[in-house]
Amino acid sequence: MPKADRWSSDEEEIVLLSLLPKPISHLDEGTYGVVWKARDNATQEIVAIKQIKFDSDMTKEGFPISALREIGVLLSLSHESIVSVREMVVGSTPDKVFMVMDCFEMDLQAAMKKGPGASTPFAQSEVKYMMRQILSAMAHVTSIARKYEHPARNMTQMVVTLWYRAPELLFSESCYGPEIDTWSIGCIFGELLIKEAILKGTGELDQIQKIFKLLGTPTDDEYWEQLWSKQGSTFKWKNNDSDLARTFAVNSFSATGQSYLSPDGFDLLSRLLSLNPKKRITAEDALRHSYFSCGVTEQVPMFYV
Amino acid sequence: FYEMKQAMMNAHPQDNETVGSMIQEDLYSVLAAMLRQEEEYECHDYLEFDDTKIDETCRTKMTEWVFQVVDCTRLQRETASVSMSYLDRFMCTSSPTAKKARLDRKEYQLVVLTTLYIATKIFEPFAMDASLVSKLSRGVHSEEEIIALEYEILVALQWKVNGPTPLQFVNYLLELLSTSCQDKALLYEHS
Repeated sequence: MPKADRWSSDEEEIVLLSLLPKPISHLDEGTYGVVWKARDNATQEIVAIKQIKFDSDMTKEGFPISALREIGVLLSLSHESIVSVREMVVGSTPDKVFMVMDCFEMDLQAAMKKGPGASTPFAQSEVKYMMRQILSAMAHVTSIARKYEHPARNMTQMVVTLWYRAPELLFSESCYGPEIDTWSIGCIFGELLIKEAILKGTGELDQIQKIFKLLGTPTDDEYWEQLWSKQGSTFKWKNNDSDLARTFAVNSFSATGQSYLSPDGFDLLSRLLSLNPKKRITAEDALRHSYFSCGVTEQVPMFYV
Repeated sequence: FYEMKQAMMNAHPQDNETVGSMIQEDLYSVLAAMLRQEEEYECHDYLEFDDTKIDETCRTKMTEWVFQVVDCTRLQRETASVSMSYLDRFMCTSSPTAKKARLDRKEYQLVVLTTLYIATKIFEPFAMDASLVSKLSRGVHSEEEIIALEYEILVALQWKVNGPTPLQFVNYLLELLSTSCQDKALLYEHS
């Protein structure tokens, strides 16, 4: 195993060129140590180096679980749209462990702010390009993740960042699968269209209200009736109709600063944001959706070039 | 077995008939990906190494012990087999403790405990405390020893802790069969 001094030159053991912006929506905040941009002395390549953060009780609990899981999974994934861990590197003491990863100039949130002018919407072709990347990465993860169907279900209610959290999780449903991820992708789709998070709840209850306001209250839905009666819920939710069509205008040219959205695109968006997780489209099926096979062809977003 | 798997991979899927929730073609590509992955998690027969004092009986005893622990604590049996795979891979490395453990059964037992500790961390909803693991050894090994060895093992395995397991192969191969769900559940149980 290579020692950190391959990147060395000062006492900090790695060359710290500049600090990368912090990652945006992470699943387990605790694991995120600092990410550095560094040059690999052996190959001259620029890489991102993330130092694993250790809690003070490291002596009690050993290597942090969340970091251990994240590293293990990332090492077993291999997809062009998923950041790959090139190798693990250790320093002189056990609390110095680094992940060497491909370096990207920015994350999606930074890209949304940059673009060809912060308020200019992405072109339809660019949105499509990014959506395909996200969905095919997710399809890959899902196919691998099927291997880990059992573990850690209880903890995961809390893991997804609130704004991207599926409604069933907000109702403490603890048994779920990849549908919670496709919900998040639906949120990102909407966000790419208007360059702003679409469901910015201030707390769990507010998040639920925002979801029902945008998508309508699931009054006539088998899944929700079952869930609510199972939980013995007597709370009555205000009846809303779906606001989705008004929020995301189809076939209109950016009066509101929204990216152009084809009817196919709208259909995909509403299938990703299906309140009923059983009816939510899977990443695999989304990739086969007519949104990708018809209409404008995809194009690499401007911020890449 | 490997050749059989290869043959299955080469046999081209005839149709796109949906098997379970997954399309046959996807199943083939997942299996192919797992086979590629497996090569990175290779291991040798360390019982044959010249310097080893660990024999089959010893490893069998340890395996039985690990499965006993897992059954008593209601962990998944899969966790036990993952932990055994860490053990076998680690024992083949030139890490100092691996070398020692090939000569010293007490040390070997420490490695067994620690790999089980790592596997539960990754695959179980609730991890065991290092102190509990120490108790499992009836006080022979301390928490500090276990945590120090955890780090050594992770370094030696290069943090590759999510390799494909035989049970996962079985699971996917079963999905390729067109038997009824009940039969599949039964077959899975028997595997």
